[in-house]
Amino acid sequence: MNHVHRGAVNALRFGRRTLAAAVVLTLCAVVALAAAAVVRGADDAAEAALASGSGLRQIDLEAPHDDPGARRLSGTALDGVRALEGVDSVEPLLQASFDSGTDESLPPFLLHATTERPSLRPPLLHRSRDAVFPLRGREVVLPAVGDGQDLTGLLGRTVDVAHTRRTGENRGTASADRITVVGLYDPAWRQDGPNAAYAAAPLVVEWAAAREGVSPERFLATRGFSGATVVVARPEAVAPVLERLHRDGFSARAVADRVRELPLLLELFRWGSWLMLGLLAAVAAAAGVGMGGTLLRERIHEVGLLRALGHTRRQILTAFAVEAGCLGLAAGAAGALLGSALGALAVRGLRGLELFARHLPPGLVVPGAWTVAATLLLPAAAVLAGAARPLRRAVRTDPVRALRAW
Amino acid sequence: MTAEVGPVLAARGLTVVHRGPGGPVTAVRGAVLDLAPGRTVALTGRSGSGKTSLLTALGLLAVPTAGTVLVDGRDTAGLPDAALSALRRDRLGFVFQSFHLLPQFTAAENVALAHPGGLRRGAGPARLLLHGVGLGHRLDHRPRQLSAGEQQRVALARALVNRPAVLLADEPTGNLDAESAAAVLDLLTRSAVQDGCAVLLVTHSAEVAARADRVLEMVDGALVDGAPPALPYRPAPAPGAAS
Repeated sequence: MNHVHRGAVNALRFGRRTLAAAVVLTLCAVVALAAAAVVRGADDAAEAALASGSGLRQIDLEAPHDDPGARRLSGTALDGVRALEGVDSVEPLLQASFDSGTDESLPPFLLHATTERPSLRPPLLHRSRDAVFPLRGREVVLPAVGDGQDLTGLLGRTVDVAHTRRTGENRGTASADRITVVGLYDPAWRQDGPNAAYAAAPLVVEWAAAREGVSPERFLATRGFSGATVVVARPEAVAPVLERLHRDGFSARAVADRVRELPLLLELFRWGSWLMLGLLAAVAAAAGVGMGGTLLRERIHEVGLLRALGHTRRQILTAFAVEAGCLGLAAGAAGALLGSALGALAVRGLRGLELFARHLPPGLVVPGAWTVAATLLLPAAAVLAGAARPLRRAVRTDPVRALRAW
Repeated sequence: MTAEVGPVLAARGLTVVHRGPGGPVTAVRGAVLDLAPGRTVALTGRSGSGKTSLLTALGLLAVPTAGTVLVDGRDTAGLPDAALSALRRDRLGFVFQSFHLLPQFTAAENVALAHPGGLRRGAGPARLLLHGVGLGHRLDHRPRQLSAGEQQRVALARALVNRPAVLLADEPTGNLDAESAAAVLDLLTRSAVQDGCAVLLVTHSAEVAARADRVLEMVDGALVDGAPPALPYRPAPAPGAAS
């Protein structure tokens, strides 16, 4: 312990010499850890979202907009999917817009009627009856605030709205309909966009078919749904069902993969974190080489003196290793502390931005224990790795020659 | 009747050959030497005659080419590094011409560095010794804050803190003015008398050599008996002691 103590005293006394390296190391550690905290927040939010629902058992099916070779999601095709082994249910997705029409007593709005899906029901703020779902007939659930309008006054009311009916090539007319608002959901829920209104599938299909100027049956046979959520019995069934869907020509993807996939900017945070950890290791190793070099060039006489005073090579090596390690540990500790704080602040700040709000959790986000441990210990380990060779050379120097260097 | 005390440090046929650019150079040729407790031996000789080579071999810092060094009668040839380090730590003390104090440590810490208990356990003995050499008011000063004479007294305290059996001093007064040199020399020789420490003193100064019990001269690597001391040796009183 004496030699550890001596190394620590040396580190303290020579602190000013290594200040620049310590500051650079600390900055690298801070940036690495702050970025890691943001990524962890996003990962946690994704996992929480998956764990809270049936996300781990869901597969998204998409209509062949971008992939002309993929199968259309017609009613028959979805019936085939429903019949696959391991599939619990298939919940089709379709949207059709409607507005407040000519009724001047209504706030003006344009909303998107969206098929209600049992696995993705919005969180209700207000309801006109106890069991709102499943929706029936011409019942709808609106956002409490939609298209910039406060829609809470519509709860429990049956109102006239308008949707588009195609009358010819590039021509259409407003068609009146009557809906009953049975619930209002939290507008922060944006699973299907900011102005989604939920309705039973037949109503949405009817309006979507009218927009195309065809009957609902023909619409389903020729255009089909824009998407569907396939719910399987167990998370383990996702892979085989997914494989079967691909084989059958569907454009399909596990919901867990989609939810875990972060926006490009958040992915950049992840890569940035790794990059900064790499840079941290490289800078620390360079600092270690520098410290070892200083020992060889400027403090070799110290080795000679300690040898003359009866210190063994191992004891001298220990003391210098502690001295070098102290730099890395101090930088790592400062970086871990400041990086955690900066990460928490960054998550808070980014949540205020539209792009990140859905991907980052509320509350305090701290980086993972392993990341903190890596940030704390990596600089010390890298400094020691860098200093190892010159340190070994120094303690092997002939003490008489080392003393002559005084 | 007094019992004969054996040498604490002895050299037997000690030979040191350096490999130089122009071929091997014999720095020490078959030196035979006994250092007895309480006695001071001065080693003189021209520059390059092999004094420092002999000193470093006796101090177990360099492995002799031939011959052996005995510490307390024990042959040190072939001992591993750890055992040699332990002998240096426990039995030997070094004083160097250019003090060799570490600038990052205080005077007290520099002394404690040589204590087998390290900086913490050596702190008390180090402070006591520094008081003993008249530097009680300089304990927490760094070397650069001390005069040359004070630095050498710190170095002397460092050499004594492990209560060595042998003190090896290489030109200990070479960088000091006359007054500081006299003070350091007094302290050095007093240690030999009071603590029963064997002292080997490498010096160019006839005046310093004259205060030794025996003078040896190195001539082209060979040890020969030098002239008897010209001045009688009298240990100086301790600083602060009544005369």
